[in-house]
Amino acid sequence: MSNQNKHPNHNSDPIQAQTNGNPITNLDIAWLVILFLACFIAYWPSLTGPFVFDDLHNIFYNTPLQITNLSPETLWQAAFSNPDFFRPLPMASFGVNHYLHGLDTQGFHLVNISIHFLAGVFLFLFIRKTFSLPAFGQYRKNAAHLAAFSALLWLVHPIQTQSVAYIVQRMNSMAGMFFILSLLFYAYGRTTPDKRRSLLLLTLSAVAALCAFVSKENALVLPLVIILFEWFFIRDLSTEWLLRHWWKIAIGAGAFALLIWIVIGDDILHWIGNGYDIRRFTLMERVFTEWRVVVWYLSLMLLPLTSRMNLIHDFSVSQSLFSNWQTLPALGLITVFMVLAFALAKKHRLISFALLWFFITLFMESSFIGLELVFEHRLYIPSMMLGILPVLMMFRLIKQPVLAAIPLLCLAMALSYATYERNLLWGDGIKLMEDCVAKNPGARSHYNLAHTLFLKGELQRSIDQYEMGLLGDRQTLENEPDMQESRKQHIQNRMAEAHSTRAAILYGAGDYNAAMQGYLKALLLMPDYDLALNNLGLILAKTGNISEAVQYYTKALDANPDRADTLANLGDAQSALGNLEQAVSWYSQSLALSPSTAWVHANLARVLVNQGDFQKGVDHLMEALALNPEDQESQNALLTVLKILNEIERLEDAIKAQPNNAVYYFQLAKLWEQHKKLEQAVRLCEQGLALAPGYPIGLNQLGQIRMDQGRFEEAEGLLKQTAQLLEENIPSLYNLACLYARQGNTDQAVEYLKAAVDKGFNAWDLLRTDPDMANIRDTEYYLSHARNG
Amino acid sequence: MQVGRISSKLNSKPLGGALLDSKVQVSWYDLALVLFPILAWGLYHGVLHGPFVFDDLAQIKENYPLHVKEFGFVNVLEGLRTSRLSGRFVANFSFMLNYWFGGLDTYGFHIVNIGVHAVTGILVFYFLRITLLLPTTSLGDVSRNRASMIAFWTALLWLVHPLATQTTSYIVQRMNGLSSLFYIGGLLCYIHGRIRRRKLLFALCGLCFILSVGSKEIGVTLPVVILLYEWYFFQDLSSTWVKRGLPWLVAAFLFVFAFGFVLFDLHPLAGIADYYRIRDFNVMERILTQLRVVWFYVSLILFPHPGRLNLEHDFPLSHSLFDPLSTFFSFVSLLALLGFAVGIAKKHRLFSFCILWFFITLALESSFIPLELVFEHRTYLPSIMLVLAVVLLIFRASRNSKTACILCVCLALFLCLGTLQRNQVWADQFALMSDCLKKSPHKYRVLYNYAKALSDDRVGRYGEAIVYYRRALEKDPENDKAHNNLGVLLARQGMVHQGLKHLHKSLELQPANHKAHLNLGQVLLDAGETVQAMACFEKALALEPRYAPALHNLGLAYEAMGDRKKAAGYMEEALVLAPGDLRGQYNYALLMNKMGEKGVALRHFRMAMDLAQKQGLKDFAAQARAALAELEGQS
Repeated sequence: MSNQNKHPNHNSDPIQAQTNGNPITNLDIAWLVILFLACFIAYWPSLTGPFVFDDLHNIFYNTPLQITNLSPETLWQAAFSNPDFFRPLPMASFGVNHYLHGLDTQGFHLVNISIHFLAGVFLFLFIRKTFSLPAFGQYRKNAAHLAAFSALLWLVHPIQTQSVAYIVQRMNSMAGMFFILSLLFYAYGRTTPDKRRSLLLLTLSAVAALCAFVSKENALVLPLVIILFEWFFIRDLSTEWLLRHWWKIAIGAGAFALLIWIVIGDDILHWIGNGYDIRRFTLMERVFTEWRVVVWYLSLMLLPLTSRMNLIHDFSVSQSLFSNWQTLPALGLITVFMVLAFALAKKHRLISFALLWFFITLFMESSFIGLELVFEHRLYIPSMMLGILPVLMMFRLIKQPVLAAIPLLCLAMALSYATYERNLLWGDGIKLMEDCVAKNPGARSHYNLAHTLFLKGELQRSIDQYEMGLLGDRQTLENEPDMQESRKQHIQNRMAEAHSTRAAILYGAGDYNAAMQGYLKALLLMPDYDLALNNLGLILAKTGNISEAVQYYTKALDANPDRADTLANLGDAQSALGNLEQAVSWYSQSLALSPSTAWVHANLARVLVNQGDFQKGVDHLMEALALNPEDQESQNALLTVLKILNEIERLEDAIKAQPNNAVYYFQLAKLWEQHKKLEQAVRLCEQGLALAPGYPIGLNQLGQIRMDQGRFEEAEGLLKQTAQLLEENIPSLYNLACLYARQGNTDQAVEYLKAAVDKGFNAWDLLRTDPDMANIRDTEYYLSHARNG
Repeated sequence: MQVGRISSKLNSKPLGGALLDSKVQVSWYDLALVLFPILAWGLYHGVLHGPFVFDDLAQIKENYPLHVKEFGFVNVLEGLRTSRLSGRFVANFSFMLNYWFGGLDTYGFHIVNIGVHAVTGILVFYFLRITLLLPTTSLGDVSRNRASMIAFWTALLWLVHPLATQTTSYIVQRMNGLSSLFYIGGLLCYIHGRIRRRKLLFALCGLCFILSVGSKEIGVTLPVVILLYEWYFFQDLSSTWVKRGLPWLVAAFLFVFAFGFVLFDLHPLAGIADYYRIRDFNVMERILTQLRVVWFYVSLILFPHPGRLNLEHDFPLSHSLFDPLSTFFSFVSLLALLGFAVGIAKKHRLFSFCILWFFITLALESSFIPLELVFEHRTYLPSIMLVLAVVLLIFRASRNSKTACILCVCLALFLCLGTLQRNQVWADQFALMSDCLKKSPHKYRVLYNYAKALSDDRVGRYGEAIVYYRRALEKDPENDKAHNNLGVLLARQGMVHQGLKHLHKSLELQPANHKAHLNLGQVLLDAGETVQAMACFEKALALEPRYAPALHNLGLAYEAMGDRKKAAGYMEEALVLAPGDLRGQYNYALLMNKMGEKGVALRHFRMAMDLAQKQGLKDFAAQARAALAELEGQS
């Protein structure tokens, strides 16, 4: 055994010895450092960038994503919190970001930049590996330099800013990173002589591919690229191999498609078909337009001036093959490139590979699926191989490698500078959106700018921008009266959202009337807009129109039955209207949907305590305080409940110790009466009166309870008896006044009140707030005296 | 081993001056000496201001015999003799020294704990290194450098392991740390003694043994480990040696037995049975549960995610071998593991030793002795060898030692993160209690401690505290301490009726609790029942004559009765005993002011103010400042 080890067999193949024996040299480390520095310096300004555009509903407003502890369940929850797509891996990574530092965007950006750097490293290793394959004899010596320059050019190209500086497009850069990692593993796995190692590497490649698929769907073309790589570089373009194995490839492709279909299900068709409903173009129009877009992409790659770059491009649609004259030439140019790619395959294999790679990886997003027309981040993966072209050109033109490096370095510097410039915009948010408005003054740009301004607290400017956006959309609707119904709906919906956010700003500024108008406008455009309905209800409740508020809340729930806040608002409204049972039910429904909202617990607890359900009240107060310990009001409420319980226990113990002392019975009865346990109170009063018949305090107490129960006749008898026994003192007269007031008998009530006043009653504050006396407050007597008092 | 050798050869080929391959001879010795203290400091500096928690209170803060002011021989001996857990005199002595230097400021206590941890880490490095270099460890052609490397990474990973936080960040568990320090020290002395044949080293080993046992009883297994070590590595598993040494072995067992005999007042079994009375499990249940606990420890050592670490594990009991079924599986798998350890003794001696070490060092606390079921600090010593096993596996699996080192660095980074995060919890009393509550929401002691933390004046969440005390009492209705605290709290919040009921209940359950007498007296005093209150204070003082708050309150009671002279006398006495008592200073100042002693009053108001500021009680500080200003205005 040891003899063999001294002379390893596989040393006979020099290539493999070189590539497998020692993967890292000083030179590599130097290059890695350069890539690292270039990447982080160019992207440093983006670190301060806020959440913009799609970040908002994917991260900022996406509460399930915002996890605060790390466990398999929460990670799972974060992973599947994407509102639109199946992208669990980047979503989980956002969740981890949030766990580590909350909504501070720096951490998100740092991870994005690191992912970009890693993608660059993998790209470097992949290209180096490709260059050291037997097909590239002439480049093997300079493989590391060639690969490093290619990767560097890609890494600092400004087109990537939209995948890196734009937080939510981590989905895209992550897919790209795993895409190239999978290829890297594949390339190593296919060239290593060690069977076990090869198996391991291919498994890793599959794992990385899976990671890419669950990052973004555009990675699904990876198998095609792998087959291309296999045919180009491992099989040496052998037609024989292709002919012999085409059926295997076909079966594999079929199985792959089937697998995707099983995983994603009918959504695929939905994707392709329904995507067009809200667009301003049809399928054919999109395909025609995309030809021009692809050519435009290529031009952007060549000339990535910051003035040409934009978050949302406004690209005119090709109506037919001829209506936009560039359409056909664009198709011609693409065809030329394709033909070129095939023609060059034998001689300039890498160039051919780079071109085919570009078209294949662009295919998903730039063909027939009904997505938006143009996005710069779609070039992240397609552009990976393009860096090779200038590098090869330079090294071929200039024989001296050192001299060839100089123009490439200059190019890299220029690109880095453009990237840096672009990132300055990304780092500010508002500036980015202003840039967007300047380059593409559509309604959507205005809305985006408005929302960013709103989040940054520049409210007046935000309102202005919303109004400009709304103006634009209104004009669109007027100018295109015969547009598709679903597109019209789409525009109206976004107008409604704009109205609603504008109204929220006005509400925050205290202009309730304008806010209300705004919400009503939003509802005209989108009658079942639950947020607007809910907020309208809130404003109404705040201004005292509780029953109207209830109507809007109910409508909001019809539109969206899962609004926990609306349910709780209904609870508040019912509680204010005095329907405690209903309030409890609404609060409970709200808590069933969203169990950790402190204020709902606190409000529910208050109602429960009022109903005499102390134990449950305490439990909910505890929940509220566990969620929000700073809530001083709930702290006090809790202590109050505990004190009531102490008082009840004290009186019960006193009754136990002195069962013949009637006073304790009445005191306890009063406590129970205050907390709506009338039957218990009646029993206690009766027990007390049995011990001390005709005791005025007891009679009075029982009278009040009967009053609460609505048994006014009995109450009248008892209270009159009390008044007689107490020689018509002030409290007894007042209570009688209450009794008549509650029955609606204002004349008698006023009479008794007069009598009380004559005896010296002057607690007008009590009179003003006592709900029993509500009926008396519009009598002349009250009005004249209350003013004096 | 083959793999490792091949790769090291490939590696040693000259490779064109690659940076990573350049042979920099690392002196692992120096690195450990410098790096370990820095690492320990870096990871643990966050807890330096952490408060006394749980057992710290009884063993340090309220263990008055250790609060020695004048450091004389007699004083110290007397203090150690009368202290709580006087058997752990070494640790107690270190607490005493800490108190002497810095009083009850936790800073010094934490510094010493961290120092103990770092020194233990260095000793572990030495111990492992010398062990790996023994010809009998069956590592074969291990070079010196490789042995140092393995020892270094093991010691480092152990040093930064989050499980060690409960020994290091928890002040009172210095007992555990010190015991382990002397344990490893003793072993090291023994090994060096055997190699160099020096008698002095054996004597040192004996001393270490005594110090180890004197820190915590876990040290008693040291002789067993030494015997095993001797047999494994010096006697090469020779059976004749065992036969020859059998009488000695018997003697050793007798020694352990005798130790237990003395510990439990010459009635070992009765003593143990007595202990079980205060637990809610019996001998069988404990032993059966420990079968599962041991695996739980292993899982914690291998996967110490901070979310899994808990000061108060709420571990379900095993009631029989099949209830729950995991008990049985644990039993079988533990037997299998032991069998495995014996089976591989010849070929993979070091691995075998690792496994046996784990069992032996855990034996005392995870068998029949009726201690609490689970505590993380019990893994401190046992985990050393498990970490070694892992590191050995890493080194064996990786192609060259550089890869292994990189792997170890990655592991260490993860462990450091865990330790830092765990120490954030340890640094703040309230965070620690909340953490416990989150992880063991149904355990009596957790509820009780959480309630106590809530009722702290700096937190001031009294209502919640009352509810949590009630929840704790639902779990253990006969607990006098909970009744006592709840009673005081209720009374202070104006619920005197329930408060008095709980205080009476507490005294009924435990009549000899001086604190409960004090509290009852306080409530009565506030309610105006001065005579009854005085009786309570006197009872408290009869139980604990040096109890400053009772003296102080007695003074207050006399003041209420109008006897200012006597009141002043008692209060002064209280202040001598507890000069750091804020309330004592303040009330004494008030009294002096009333008695016309403006100068004295001024001095004490000032002290009260300083104390209030130091403790962060802003309201109280403002109150004292106002009184001071008024007084100064007059004079």
